[in-house]
Amino acid sequence: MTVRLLKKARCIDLVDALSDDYEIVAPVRKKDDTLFEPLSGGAEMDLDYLNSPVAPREFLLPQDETVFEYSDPENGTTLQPKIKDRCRIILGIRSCDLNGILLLDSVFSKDIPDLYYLNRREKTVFIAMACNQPGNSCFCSSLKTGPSASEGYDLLLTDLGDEYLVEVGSSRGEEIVKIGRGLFGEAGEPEIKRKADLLAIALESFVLRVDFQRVTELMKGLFADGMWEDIAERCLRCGGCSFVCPTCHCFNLFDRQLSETSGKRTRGWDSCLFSGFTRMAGGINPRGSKVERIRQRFFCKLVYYVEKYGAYGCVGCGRCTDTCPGYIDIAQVVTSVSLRSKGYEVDVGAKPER
Amino acid sequence: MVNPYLPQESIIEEVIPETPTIKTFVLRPENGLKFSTGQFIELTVPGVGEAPFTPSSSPFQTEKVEITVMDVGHVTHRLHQMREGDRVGIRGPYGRGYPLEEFYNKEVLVLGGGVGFAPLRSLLFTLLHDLSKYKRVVLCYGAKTPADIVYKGLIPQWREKIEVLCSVDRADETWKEHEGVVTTLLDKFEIDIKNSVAVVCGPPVMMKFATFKLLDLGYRPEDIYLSMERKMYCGIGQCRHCMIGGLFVCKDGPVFTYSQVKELPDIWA
Repeated sequence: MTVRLLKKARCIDLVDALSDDYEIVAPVRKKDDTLFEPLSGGAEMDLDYLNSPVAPREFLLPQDETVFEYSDPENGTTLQPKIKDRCRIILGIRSCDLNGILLLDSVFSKDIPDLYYLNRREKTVFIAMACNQPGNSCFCSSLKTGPSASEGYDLLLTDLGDEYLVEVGSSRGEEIVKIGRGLFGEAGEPEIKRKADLLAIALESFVLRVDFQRVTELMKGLFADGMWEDIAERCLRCGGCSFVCPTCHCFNLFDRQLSETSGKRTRGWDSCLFSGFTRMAGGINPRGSKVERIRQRFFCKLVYYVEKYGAYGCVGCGRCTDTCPGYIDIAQVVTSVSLRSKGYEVDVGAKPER
Repeated sequence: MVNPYLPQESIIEEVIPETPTIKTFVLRPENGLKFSTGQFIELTVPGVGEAPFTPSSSPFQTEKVEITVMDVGHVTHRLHQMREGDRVGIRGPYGRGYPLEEFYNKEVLVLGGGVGFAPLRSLLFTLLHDLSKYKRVVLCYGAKTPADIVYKGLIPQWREKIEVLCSVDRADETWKEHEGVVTTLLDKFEIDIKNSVAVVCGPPVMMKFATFKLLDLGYRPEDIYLSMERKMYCGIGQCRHCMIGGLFVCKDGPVFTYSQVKELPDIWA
């Protein structure tokens, strides 16, 4: 493994050196929130952020994208597929979100490859950032998806105070180091040791620890359990949990007419919590009730994902918990599954204390 | 790599009215369409959107594909207004169709309701293509009223080759055959259940009661084949709208045996 050092003050120089070849997306402070945005027009990055309220998955799977445009002149229909062609660096992405993208890779590359996703993925470089201080809703350590990334990054930064330890994870990472040569210093055993110490402290400081052991198996026995009714009572069907999630990827295909003879097909995010998600023409709706839909969301994440892709559809970022107006908390759900399976009463109708 | 989302242009060659609300569209795709009976396609009505349909035509006819469509949603409504010469898009085929080898040397009971007859017509064309492979083929078809019966011209032709029983929920003075829901037809003949498979397609409530009736008669869950229907956007197992439990109707189906789905939630919709 190649390691380097990067002085915090030189970060901006690295961004400058890279911005000829890449669009740089980084956390940017916006009033009370830090959001991932392209660093154009002088936006200032905030690498000391805890985490963004929305996962940066939109840079791989946009909220709204054109699948193709068509026009219908007299000689026939022409289809113009729109596949974006831009190299991009996502700087400061957290380990949880990076693991979310590794899951999306399985979804969009297995069986029938999705060219839109894969083309963007191919052109995206990840400069990830380890977490020294987890947030109150974070539980990545329970899923081994953080607080520091172990795979998927091109470069991995760890905050050592005045400088970052830079771990190179791929040949594209080497490439970045080459472009920014002169900005990086040498690193060795002492810095690697510092990181290990900081990581150990971070692992100690998780407020939230969730026991995922056997949850898939236990949930299957609790399909008809009353706990789902209690959870559903608190769901407002806003779909917020789906939209902030790093692994949710349900989408619609939607046509818009642009003129009498032309139009476009777009793809946009959807949420399994919306009542129209499964409603067919004629009005028949296989998941017509809220309890069926909220149960589907948790079974999708904790059972169906595991069966199909061999991993939970949750990376422990805690965003769904933070965003839910009804205080539905996935960590509380997992814990409740374990308790219910042992026959204990659970109160999933109560706001979790933290 | 091929982009699975690009439809191929198809000309509407003929529009055949079946009932006041159902039409069959004969489509000629630019490059033809090879499919197995029971698979489905995504049909684009330009400017409106896409919807999934299982072809009602024979898979041995690849230069043309036919779909039988009820006017029920926004895509089907616009389609119903289209005429010969108009252009639509097709992509697919997708999913798994009927596993015909499982039907060889067996008594095949085909049970259809309403517009759910569409995929079964494709299946019947396939069975009739080499009838000697199957011990016996019985078709039971039910519709609401005599006016709601599709493929009226074909039924007499089929009667010459296979057993055909029809029923309507509400008869009128012209109706000479059985009156009652389609499952009541099953009491009218003997079948060697132990050496039989049943293939069911129709509205959810019909599929449900047909399955229960077949189980009562002694059919094993693995011998009951259901064509499941769900909202489907992508057709390739990514958009997740069609999931029943952990199964994707678009990839793992749309044809399932009852044993595959009986433990899953919300199967009858």
